[in-house]
Amino acid sequence: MELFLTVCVTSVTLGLLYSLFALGLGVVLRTSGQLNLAHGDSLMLATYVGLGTSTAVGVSALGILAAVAAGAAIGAVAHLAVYAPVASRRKAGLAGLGFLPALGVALIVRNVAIQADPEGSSPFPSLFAGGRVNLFGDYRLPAAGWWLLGAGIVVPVVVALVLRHTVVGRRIRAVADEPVLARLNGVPVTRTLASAYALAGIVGGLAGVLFASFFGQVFVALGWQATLKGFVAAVLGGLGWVRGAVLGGLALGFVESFVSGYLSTRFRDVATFALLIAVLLLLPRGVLAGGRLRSV
Amino acid sequence: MKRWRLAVPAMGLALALVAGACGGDDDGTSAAGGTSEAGTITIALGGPFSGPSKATGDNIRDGAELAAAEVNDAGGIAEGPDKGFRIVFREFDDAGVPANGASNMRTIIDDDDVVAFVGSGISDVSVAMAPIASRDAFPFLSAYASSEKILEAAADAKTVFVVPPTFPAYAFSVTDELLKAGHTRPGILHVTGTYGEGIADLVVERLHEKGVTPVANESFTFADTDFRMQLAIIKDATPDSLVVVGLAPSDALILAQAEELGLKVPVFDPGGITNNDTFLDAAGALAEGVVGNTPTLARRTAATTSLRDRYLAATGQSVIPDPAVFAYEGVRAVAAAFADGARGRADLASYLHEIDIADTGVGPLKFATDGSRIGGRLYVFRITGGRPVFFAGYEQTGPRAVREIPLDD
Repeated sequence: MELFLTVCVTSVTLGLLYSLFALGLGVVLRTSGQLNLAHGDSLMLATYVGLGTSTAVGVSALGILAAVAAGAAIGAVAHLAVYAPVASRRKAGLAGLGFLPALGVALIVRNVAIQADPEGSSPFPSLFAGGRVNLFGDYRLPAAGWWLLGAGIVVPVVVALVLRHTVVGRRIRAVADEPVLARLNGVPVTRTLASAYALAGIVGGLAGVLFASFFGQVFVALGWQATLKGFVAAVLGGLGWVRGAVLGGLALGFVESFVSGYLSTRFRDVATFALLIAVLLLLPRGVLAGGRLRSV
Repeated sequence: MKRWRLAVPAMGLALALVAGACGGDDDGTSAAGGTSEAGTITIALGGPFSGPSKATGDNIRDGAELAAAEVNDAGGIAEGPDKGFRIVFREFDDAGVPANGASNMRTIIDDDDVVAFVGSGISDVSVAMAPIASRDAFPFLSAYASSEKILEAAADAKTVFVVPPTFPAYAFSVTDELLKAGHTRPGILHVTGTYGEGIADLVVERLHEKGVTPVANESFTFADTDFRMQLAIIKDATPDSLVVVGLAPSDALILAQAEELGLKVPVFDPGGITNNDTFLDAAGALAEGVVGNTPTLARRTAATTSLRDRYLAATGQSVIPDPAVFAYEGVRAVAAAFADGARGRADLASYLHEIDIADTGVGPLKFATDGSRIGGRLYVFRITGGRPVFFAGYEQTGPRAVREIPLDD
């Protein structure tokens, strides 16, 4: 019974992290039509910024704020300096290669992180207040775990509210639906897309510090890992705005944890990617999107 | 105009590739103790000087430079045709990646100035490099990487040496102490690859010899940070002890997550990982009680004290990490072979087979015909009050045999 409960806790905590990874990817994908391959590396670098800030200043909250701000800045700057200019010059025949600028940004960001942390990983103190609390039996979830549970619920709701009820959010959705029409109606498309990248970066920066605080470590490879897991979660969820990301992330967390707990940890990634291929073949709109695409 | 449209993404990629190159290999020559007009002996120094195992690479460099400084400060090679020659290094970063190591090995062999290779911190890397060195009869001294597969892979020529005791000594010394402590239901959690699986298989073999079967045997990869499922499975099997075979950062995370899950059993590390500041700093109070092994520190001979003092003066570190110890010995072995009469890479290996250093500070250093070390020692400790406290010594007496020795031997 304790193993089952542990698998469930692991499923939820991992699933919520994957949801947050997928949320940022989904916002950009829906708005710009581009898979932001730099999303994971941006959130990884933002997490290092958070670590550096909290270490230098000695205030954990400032570390979290710095990570969130860095995530937003990296996303917006990458769009304004690289993606938007490249998109405006792209030849029609290169349409399928739209991921290349993001790949370039990902590699640059990753190498900046390697220069900052040549060992490739650093211990990460929990930036979240609180102590361990007993869940069941001997299982004591650390403070970052409780914050993760809270953020995993609150952040998607906040993002949904921003998208529905703010000017920026409405513009993002307008650009996502019909960019030409939005432009004709006076929506500044480039700036709006930058806002979408910034929003994704904010969620990513927070996800990064939650991940690092929970596992006690930040590492360069987190970038690719976050992109990969976030992408799988987003596809499982049907590449939607918010609901798809959350449900896709949780689905991925449950699949990974139950396969690990009751089959073998060696089959965890095999099961994940077998599921991804099956979904792409049989339910290309995602398991959780049903037969039609959903909006917020 | 059309060219510019293509040029922008191309520039992005080019920038990325340039940035990638900046984080890649670091191939430079460093002089330890100064270079000489009389002549130099160039040794290729290899290891993970970047990436997740960078600490191991840094230790290898520290140990090698200490040995070279000793030789150079004493006037260079003591005797022989190259008397007075100084030792210099050419560094090759493998980042812990076997393909990098293999590529480096090819470059090293093609460089006529280089007489030998000392280094490699990961067994998978040494296993990839050793056959290439052996095929060209190039002297290769594996410092720290200690899988017996390194010697098995080097079948073409007897030019490959493993400076540390090999895996059986590491695995058997700690497993014997686990059994002596009365544990009969160990769980095992190990990293995949030559190192993790090699040590874990030997632990299982030793346990079976004594009639004990591990209650669980789980694995993880170097990229993993979440070990909760493996630990939950092990906990579900109600172990009375936990054998962990990983690297310092992963071992520290495993201890933290074991505590999160309430898995409270004595922890044993047979991989020689826990005797370094990386692990002790990362694990903090959770390191208390962990049982591990190391080739040095327990001895109180004059050579050991001297080595410890010189390492402290050179690096400011009071603990000599295992990779530093064996890189130090590897360079000392090359210097001894030249002092005995070796003239270059062509005959160096045959002289290395004949060296017999009474005490390097780690112990006597000589090699068996298969390139393994004769009489390598390991000392078993329990971390108490944040430092290792030694309580048992072991000597490797054969490819798969150890015997217990007094701590001061």
